[in-house]
Order: sequence, then C-alpha cells, then structure tokens
Amino acid sequence: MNFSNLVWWACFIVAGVWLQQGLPGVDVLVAGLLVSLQERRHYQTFWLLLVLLLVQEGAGTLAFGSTVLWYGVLVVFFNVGRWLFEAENLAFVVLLSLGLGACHFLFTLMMASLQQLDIPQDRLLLESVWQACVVPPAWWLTHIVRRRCMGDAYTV
Amino acid sequence: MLDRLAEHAGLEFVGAILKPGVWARDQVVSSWNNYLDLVGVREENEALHEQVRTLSQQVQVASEERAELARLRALLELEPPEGWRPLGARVVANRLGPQAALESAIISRGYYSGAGPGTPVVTHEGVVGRVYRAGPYTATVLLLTDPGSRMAVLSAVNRTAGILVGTGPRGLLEMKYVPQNARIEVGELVLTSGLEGAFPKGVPVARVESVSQSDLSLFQTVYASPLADLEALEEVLLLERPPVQPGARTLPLPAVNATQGVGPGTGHGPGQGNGTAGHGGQRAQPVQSNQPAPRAPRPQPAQPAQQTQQPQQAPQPAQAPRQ
Repeated sequence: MNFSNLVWWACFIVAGVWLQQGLPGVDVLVAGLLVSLQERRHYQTFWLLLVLLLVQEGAGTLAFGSTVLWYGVLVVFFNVGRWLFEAENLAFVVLLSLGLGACHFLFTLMMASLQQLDIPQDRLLLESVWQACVVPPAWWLTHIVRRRCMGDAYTV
Repeated sequence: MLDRLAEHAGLEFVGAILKPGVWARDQVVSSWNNYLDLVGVREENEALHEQVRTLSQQVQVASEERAELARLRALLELEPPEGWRPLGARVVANRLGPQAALESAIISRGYYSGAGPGTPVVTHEGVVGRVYRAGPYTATVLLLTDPGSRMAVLSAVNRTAGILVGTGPRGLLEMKYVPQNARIEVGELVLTSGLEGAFPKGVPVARVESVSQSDLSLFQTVYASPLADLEALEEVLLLERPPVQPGARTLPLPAVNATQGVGPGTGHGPGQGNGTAGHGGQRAQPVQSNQPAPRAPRPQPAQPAQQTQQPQQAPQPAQAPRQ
C-alpha cells in the first residue's frame, strides 16, 4: 500500500465518519470495504477491515463483536456471491446491500438480546432499511471517486 | 438687423451643425462614462457583495457565538453540588455508527480529562445522563431516555422516591416503584436522590407529566419528561466526584471499566442508586469490593474524621425505595 493509497483511505474514513454523524445507526464505511474487496487487494482489505472495526466498535455502544460479525458476513456474502455474479455488477451490490440490511437488523437485535439491552425495534428496522438503501450509492460514489483519484491501477 | 440675421440664421445653422455633433459626442462620452462607471459599479458591486457575504458570515458566527455565550453563561451559573467539580465538555456527535444501539452522545472528554465511566452529565436545565464508555479523551454518554438507564430520584415537593427509567428515543421517562399510597403530583419536579453517590443529591431531572393508578399493580404509573433538551445537546457539564480524603474509608461501589463502561449489566437494583442497569436488571449485581473505586469515589463525607472511625459498611441489598 503506497502513500497516496494510504492518504486516500484516510480521507475516505474521515469523510465516512462525518457522513455517519448525519445517519445515525447506518454504516457508510462498509462501502469502502466492499470496494477494497472488489479490488482483490487482500493486504489492503485486511488493514482497512482492522481500522474500520476499531472505528465502528469504538463509536458504538454495544459490546465488542457486533462489527466483527457484520463485516464477517460482508466478506462471506461477497465471496459466495462472486461465484454467481460479477463482483462489480450493480445488481450484485444491491443484493449484497439487502443482505447486509437484514443482517444489520438481526445482528444488532441478537447482540442486544445477549447483552440484555432493550432497544427500540421499530427504529432498528428503519435503520436497517436505510442501511440497505445507503450501500449501493455509497459504493458507487466510492468506486467512482477512487477511480478518478487513483487511476485505473486501483479499479476493479 | 444683420446681427439678428446672423443670430437667427448663422447661429442656428452652426447650432444645427454642432448640436448633433455635440449630442453625438455627449452620447459617446456619456456612454463611455457609463461604461466606465458600469465597470466601476460592477467591481464595486462585487466588492460590496463580497463585503455583504463576509458580514453575513460574521453576523452568523457572532449570533452563533452569542447563543453559545448564553448557553455557557447558563452553565456557569449552575452551581455544582458542594464537593463536585464541574467540567465543561462539548457534544461531538450523537449516535454514531451501526453499533450505536443505545441512546447516547459522544463528548469531548475522556477519562484522562475527567470523564470516567459513571460520571454524571448535566446541563443548566437538568440531568442528561452519565458517562457510559470512556476513551482517553472522548467518551460516550448514556442518555436518560435509554431504556437501560436507571436513576434513583425523589419528587421535589412530596419527597416520593422512585427509579426513573428511560422508555426510548423521544419518549418520556417512567418513574417506577412509586407505591399506590404515595403522593406525587403532575408538574412536580423530580430530583436526583443522591443514593449510592453516583449522582449528587437534588439535581433536577424531569417534570412529572402524568400519574395514574392501576388496580393490577402495587405501584402507580408515573411518567415524566426530561428537563434537559436531549435532542439538541451542544455543551454539557460533567460533575467530577470529589476526591477521596486520605485515610477515609469509602463504601464499595460498582466496579467501573474504561472499556466496558458502567452500562447495562453493572447497574444497581431498584432503589440502589443511579446505575444504568441492564434490561430487566437480571445482571444487576452489586460488586463486592473492599478497594475504593479509583474513578468512582463517593462524595466527600461531611465529617470524614467520624467516618474513618466507623467500620466499613456492607453495600445495601437491592430494595424498593421507601416512602
């Protein structure tokens, strides 16, 4: 991972965190992880995953582990889905985002139950829908901006 | 006569010749001047527009600063309870990220700067909540409205005790364990009771909105609205606990953990203070510890010399608040 790539991801994370401030309960940074997975740069994905885990877990209020599950599911869904679809296909991303939205609801509910927390389910459902809706445009924007900034060397 | 002829003919002729030229010259000069003026006006206009923009921004900043000044003055006017040190903090964000399932806010202080887990958070209007998780310089505050929030309270007039529990976002607070025969009125202020020392006593928390009695329950159903505007928090005050006097013995307090926080699961049973007990309180177990909690000492006792002579007391078991 060269310096410009590092700077790009740092800027992405900063922008993503600011966006997340306006969208409580929604993970915007997952779009970056998806782009990194599509680039098939495992070393980059590993470090990005690590940083995003720390960011999301640190900002959250649930016990550690929810984000591990959440991103783990993304990696699994991506690798399974890649057998059936083109990784950069929009339909694939939309399906993936639907799956992620559903997992967001299930995992948060499960982790809250395990921690004996009472959380409003109607709000969680709404946030999961938002999550599913946010991923495709966030992925598209990240994909386009990254291609513009970093050139074709980093595209899928 | 010739003069008159000259005046009426020659002069008019000259005039007739000159006037169009002069008119044309005037027009050209005027147009040129207008053009030059226009260029100047445009430039001036642009300069004025820029000035208006700058001034508007300055006015905006000034009005924002004035509003902030008013809020900070209100915070400064708030007299903290004796022995508790107030620390200002900014609210950096509200719920942030997919794992922010609880009603929370992120503030600009952490355990290095006075915001250890369990630290009470207030505004000049009333109690906001308490620090739930703390990093070195940033902390998460669990708001009153979270269903996992528990706080021992008293009504201001009738001194009726209860436990104030959040009911969710934008919801009212429910005051639980208020016996059927206890007196409490709509509009009455609800204050912290100071039990367990998690919060100082007498800080306003909420105002009673409704009181109803049920034939099926031993307790009244009391709802109250928080005094602090939890949806628009910008600055808050942290109340740092008074330092423990050397040699003074303290009651054991629930253990706090900078990474785990004091949230659900480390709370207190009904009537045992201001903990943020978990859902259902099933994990609410007071931690037996003979070590004074490093970041959660009790308020400074009024007569520490007497306390040092008394044997250490065991923590009170969970019990419903008494009348």
